[in-house]
Amino acid sequence: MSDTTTPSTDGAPIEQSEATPAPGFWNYVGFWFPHVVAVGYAGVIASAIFIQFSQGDLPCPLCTLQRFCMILVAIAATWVVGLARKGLLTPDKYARTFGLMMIGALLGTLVSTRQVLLHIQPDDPGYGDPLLGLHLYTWALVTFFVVLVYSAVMLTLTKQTFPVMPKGAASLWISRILIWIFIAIVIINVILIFTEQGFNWVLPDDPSRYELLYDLGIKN
Amino acid sequence: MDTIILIVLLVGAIFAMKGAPAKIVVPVFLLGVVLTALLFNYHVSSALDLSF
Repeated sequence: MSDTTTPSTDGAPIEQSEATPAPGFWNYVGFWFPHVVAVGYAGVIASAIFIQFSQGDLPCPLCTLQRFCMILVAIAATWVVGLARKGLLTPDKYARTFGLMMIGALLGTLVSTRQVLLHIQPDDPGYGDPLLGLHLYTWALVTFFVVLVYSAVMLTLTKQTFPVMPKGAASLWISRILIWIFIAIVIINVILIFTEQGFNWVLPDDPSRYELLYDLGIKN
Repeated sequence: MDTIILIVLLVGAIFAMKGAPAKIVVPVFLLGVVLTALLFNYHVSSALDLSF
């Protein structure tokens, strides 16, 4: 971006008072932070998938709903990146993405709070094994709070953090790879949830097997 | 239902990645929100079939 100038009557350029400033550090932060949100949630879901296979903990319906909410938040973050890369991002669209992010995080807060409350009684072992002292649904609740705070801060600073993609092919490729990691995790989730659900309308309350294998007669 | 919601979310993610206009991304996003909320409502209002 360059400063806008207007020729005066004698031909000498006059600097406009509302000239667009050159992108600075915080504009680049505004561009890369949505990548952190999308890849961060991809990492959280990938960790849950790792635990699913390493410890045999199948995700319950509420765990699955929390994954949906994480994906919703990451979609809003991905939209910022998609629009910024095409040069179509405007301040109102930038603000709108944070509105969408907050909707996803609020729904996630609702779902994870429900699951925390299901296991709030003393001596309740909780669902699944804890990670670093907290169960996965408690960690999910923490991440949704972080997203709400992040969205509030960024909405306050939309002007200062308006995303600008750094010039150069390397930035574009890094951005593409990071977003594709998120898309790949969503695709893996589609396959895993379909395998767990089979041809049933909803997941069982206490899943213990991959229903599709039984529906197709692969296992009896 | 879970698989259908995930497919909706996948479509939304691909549109978002491509920087699609708001008239496409926002309705798909909101469809995902509504379906997730309805499924949540089903799970919290149905009798739990738990075994301990």
